[in-house]
Amino acid sequence: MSHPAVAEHLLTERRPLGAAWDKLMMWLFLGSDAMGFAALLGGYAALRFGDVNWPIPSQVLGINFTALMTFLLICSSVTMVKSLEAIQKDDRVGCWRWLFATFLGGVLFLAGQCYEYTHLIQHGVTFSSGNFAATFYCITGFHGCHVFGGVVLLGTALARVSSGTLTRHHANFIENVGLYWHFVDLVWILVFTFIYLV
Amino acid sequence: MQVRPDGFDVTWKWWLPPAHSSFGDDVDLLFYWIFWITMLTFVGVEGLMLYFCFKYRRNPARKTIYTKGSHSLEVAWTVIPAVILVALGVASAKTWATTKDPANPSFPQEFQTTVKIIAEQFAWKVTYPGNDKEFGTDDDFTETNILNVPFEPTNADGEVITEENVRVLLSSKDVIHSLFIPVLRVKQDAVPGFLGNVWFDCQRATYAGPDGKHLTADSKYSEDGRTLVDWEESYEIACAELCGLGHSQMRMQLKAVPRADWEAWVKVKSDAAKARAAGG
Amino acid sequence: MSTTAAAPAPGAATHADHGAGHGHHEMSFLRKWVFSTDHKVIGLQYLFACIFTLLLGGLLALMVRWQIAYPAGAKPSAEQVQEWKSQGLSGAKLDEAIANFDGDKPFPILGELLWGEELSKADVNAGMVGEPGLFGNSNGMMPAEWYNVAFTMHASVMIFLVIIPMLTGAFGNWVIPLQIGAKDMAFPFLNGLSFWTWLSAALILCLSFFIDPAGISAGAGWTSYPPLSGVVTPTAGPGQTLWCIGVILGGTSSIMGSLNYITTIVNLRAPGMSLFRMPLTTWSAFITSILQLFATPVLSSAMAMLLFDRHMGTSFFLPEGLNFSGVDIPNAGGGQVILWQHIFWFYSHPAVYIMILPAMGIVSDIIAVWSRKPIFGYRPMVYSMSAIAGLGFVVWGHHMFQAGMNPVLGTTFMISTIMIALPSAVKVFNWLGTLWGGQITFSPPLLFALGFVSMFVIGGLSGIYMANAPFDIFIHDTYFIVAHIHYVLFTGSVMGIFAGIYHWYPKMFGRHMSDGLGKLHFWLTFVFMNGVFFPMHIIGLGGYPRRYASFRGYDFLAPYEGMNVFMTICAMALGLCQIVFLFNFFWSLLAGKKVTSDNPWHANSLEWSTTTPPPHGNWIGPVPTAYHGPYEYSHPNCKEDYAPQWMPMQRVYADAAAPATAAPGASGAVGAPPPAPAH
Repeated sequence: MSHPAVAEHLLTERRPLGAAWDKLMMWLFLGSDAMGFAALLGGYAALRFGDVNWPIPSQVLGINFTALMTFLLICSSVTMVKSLEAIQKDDRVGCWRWLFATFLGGVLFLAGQCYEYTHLIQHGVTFSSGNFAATFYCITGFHGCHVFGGVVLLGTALARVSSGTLTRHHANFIENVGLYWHFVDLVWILVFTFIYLV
Repeated sequence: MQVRPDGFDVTWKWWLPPAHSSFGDDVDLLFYWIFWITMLTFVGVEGLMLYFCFKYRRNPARKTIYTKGSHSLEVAWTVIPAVILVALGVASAKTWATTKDPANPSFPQEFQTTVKIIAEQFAWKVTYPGNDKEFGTDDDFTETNILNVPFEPTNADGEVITEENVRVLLSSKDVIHSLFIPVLRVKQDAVPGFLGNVWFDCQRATYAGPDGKHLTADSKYSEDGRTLVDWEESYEIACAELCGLGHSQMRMQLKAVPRADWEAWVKVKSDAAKARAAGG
Repeated sequence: MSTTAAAPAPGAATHADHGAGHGHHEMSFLRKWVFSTDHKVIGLQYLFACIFTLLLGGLLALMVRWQIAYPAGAKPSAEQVQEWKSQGLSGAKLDEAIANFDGDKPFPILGELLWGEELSKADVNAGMVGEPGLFGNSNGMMPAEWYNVAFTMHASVMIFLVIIPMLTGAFGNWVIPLQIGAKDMAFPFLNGLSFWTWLSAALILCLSFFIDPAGISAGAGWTSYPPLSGVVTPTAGPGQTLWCIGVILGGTSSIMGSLNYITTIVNLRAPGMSLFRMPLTTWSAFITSILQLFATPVLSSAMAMLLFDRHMGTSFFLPEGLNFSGVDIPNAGGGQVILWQHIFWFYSHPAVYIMILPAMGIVSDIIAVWSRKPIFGYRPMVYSMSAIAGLGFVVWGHHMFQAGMNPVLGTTFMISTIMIALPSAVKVFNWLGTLWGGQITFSPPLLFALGFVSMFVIGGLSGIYMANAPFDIFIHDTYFIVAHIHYVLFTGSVMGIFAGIYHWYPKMFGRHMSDGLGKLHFWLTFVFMNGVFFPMHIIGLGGYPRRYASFRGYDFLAPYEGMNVFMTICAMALGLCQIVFLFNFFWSLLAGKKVTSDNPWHANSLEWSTTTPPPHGNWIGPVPTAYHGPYEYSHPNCKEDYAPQWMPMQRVYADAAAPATAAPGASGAVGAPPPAPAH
């Protein structure tokens, strides 16, 4: 004599604040991840303000080039939004195109970072050449790892869209990848501000 | 109020060591307040628990009291401890400011003596500014594991006759060490890359008559100034922050002596250092 | 069955299929017991692994205690010398007797195994060399550097490999889905991954003993303050590097676990299971997970920076001009030593609450069940746990009062720390309120729960001494703090762990543990743990510094030798009486009395509604519905002294009259309740 209401409830998932559980977990993960970045940025602030000989960032780092990279990353956030929009309209081709643009943005950003690192290392700014360089590599590197993770996620999404296994019903996957990507983007704006500009 | 033990080897092995600094009694007073508050709480709570365990042990004949809580009780046992804790916090903040906050009026206005201690694995290097009371001059001298300071004489009522505040500039050349002087209630980390400071006054000389303050002219320092063997007693200083294999071997001796003695000792040491500097 | 897309998660969807369809099915041993994604199996994996690590951590503790009581270099006492004199020894003979005096006591059995054969002092003086042990040859005595390793690894093992994984890993995993009526965790795969990550962390931490011939693992204390830990030295050699990696991995596992717990609790509660109908064990796991989620990444960042300092030539924590015994540290410069302490304690103070809150939850549930009373002040209990967690993030500075902080900052940290006593006190009062007027049965779980409460009072009250900055200056880094932490974590959390094991054992394994042995275990543990830890307060008041390999050489420590020996003997006894527990635990697995009811304790929460042990998917058929709160014991309108959450109150009255009609999901106990708890 199973209660009909119970059977119905069994597959009713709770959606507090409209968040499905994978989305909730993504938010939680991002909160947790933000604490990791906060610790690194906090350490950076402490070291920087405790050191009178801290170099002026713009004299060591190429601001213009990085500004371009930043612009690229912001654009890729926009294309990410477009791809979600497309998949929600069941426009798989459109979704694939926007996703690919995002993917490309990520890859180009990573390439830019590689170029920047190589350039800096050639000019003697290495990981072990003082706290300015160490914090720079540590924080941008940690961020770069996140971008790499994002690129892998985007690649998975691309593969799933082109093989047809990702449809309108799985829009939440694209949404979660998007959340992650926007987070990575947001963190970069903070990193760019604190490490390059200020 | 704690009666200050007057001997060196009294029964403090079961209790706090005697407190010989001017703020030591204040610190201990806080301890006693907390001690009685926590003791009362402890006895009350544990007593009640045992009583309940006994009274309400399983007995089907007795009706169980069905209750999910009491708003007024919750308020009571939140507010009452809160008041006690805030009061305790305020009282502690006062002593804290006296010992740590230079902006506080009861913080010493003047330090009659300043020494610099650079800790290392596993010794304390104590640098005295010498006769000219300036660091970085020829007559500075450095002792290993010996901290000699003038003691602060007090009268029978415990009032200070002459202020003898000692400031220790503290740092380390390798790892973190911690300067721990139990009888003065002093503990301060020696942090590499950072010159910290801590102050104290020692109101009981390490060698003295029973009142601790009559030795002046007939001091027993040895004429060559190399050793203080005749200042036979000392307070012990330990390292309180793990610093490696020899952590437990970082013992330093604190000798608090009448100012005349101390100055005579400093003069001998300082003159010798100056002579060495001139000769070298 | 609706579409897969509408199903909550892959894992749960499969379970629903199972429930509706073919029930149990063949699963390879590896899939079922090793690489399992079933939260119950993962919970048990944690449980068994943690029992093992508990033994390791305990053994290290005994070695630490042994060293403190019997450090090398024992000298004959004055009485002994007097006796020799009265026997007519004098001059060179007396000197020889003193030189040959052998007061050293190697650790029983293991001493000789690890550090070589014990020779008499006369033999050593005569130049004889004994058989070497596994970790070298020091006449069976623990060398000072190994002492540092022993206490560092004791703390690390107990914190990262016992208490946290036991409370959040074993109990969190096993209990949460059952108590909220979920078929499994939200992300079963992530859950399994979390266990395996933790296990590799454990293996790496343990491996660190074996990469140095002398068995030197990390030796810079579990707090690992740089520069001691930040520069590669014998104290912090390769073992320290593995230690950092292990801690990062352990943290990653914690983060994965917390993500899962929070999501599960928020999204997967059974119908009717509102947040304020959750048992306190689940509440505590929820709050703990939030703490873990936001504190742990900070520790990982710090550990990564420390690793870079050690091996990549950076100097985040290494200031200018470091010089270790005449050797300059080339990469040092510009770093800040105190920065580490801030970051480390930002994690590690919340970590202390991560280690106590789940035990508080477990104990609350157990006290309610075994005194047949609703928990007194359910909501205040939840709020006070939240307050402890919230305050936990703003008190870290109290570990640094003596490090040279801004005095105003010190005052702030002092006040916030003192305030933590408040929610803790509220909890204790509410536990007392729960006992008041109940029907208390002194079963092993309740005994351990009461042990927790009474000992937590001591640990909590001693915290007030430490919150007090001026007095903390004196007791900081003395045995007083060692007493405090052990009263909270051993006589607190570990008591809670034992209580939980005794309480849920019948549901976990379908058999009962022996009651008599459980009580024996409790009383022995209770007596000896106080014998070990209480005197620490006293020697701490005398200023006895912690982490001292030897008290010899200090006049002010000499009087404590006798007390130290006493504590060590108690510690050995405490260690030995855990054999009672181990025997009871493992023997009952095979030969314990089989449970006759699915709800042997007449408890209310949902984990008791399912069959024993719970099947894959937790309930055969649909999950139960929660009709009311979990603490409806001795309700005046009920005939029975309990009203299970999965039965409507009206049904409870009705069932009392006609017990035959039980819901399929709620088998056993409710259908035919035995007259009294079957314990």
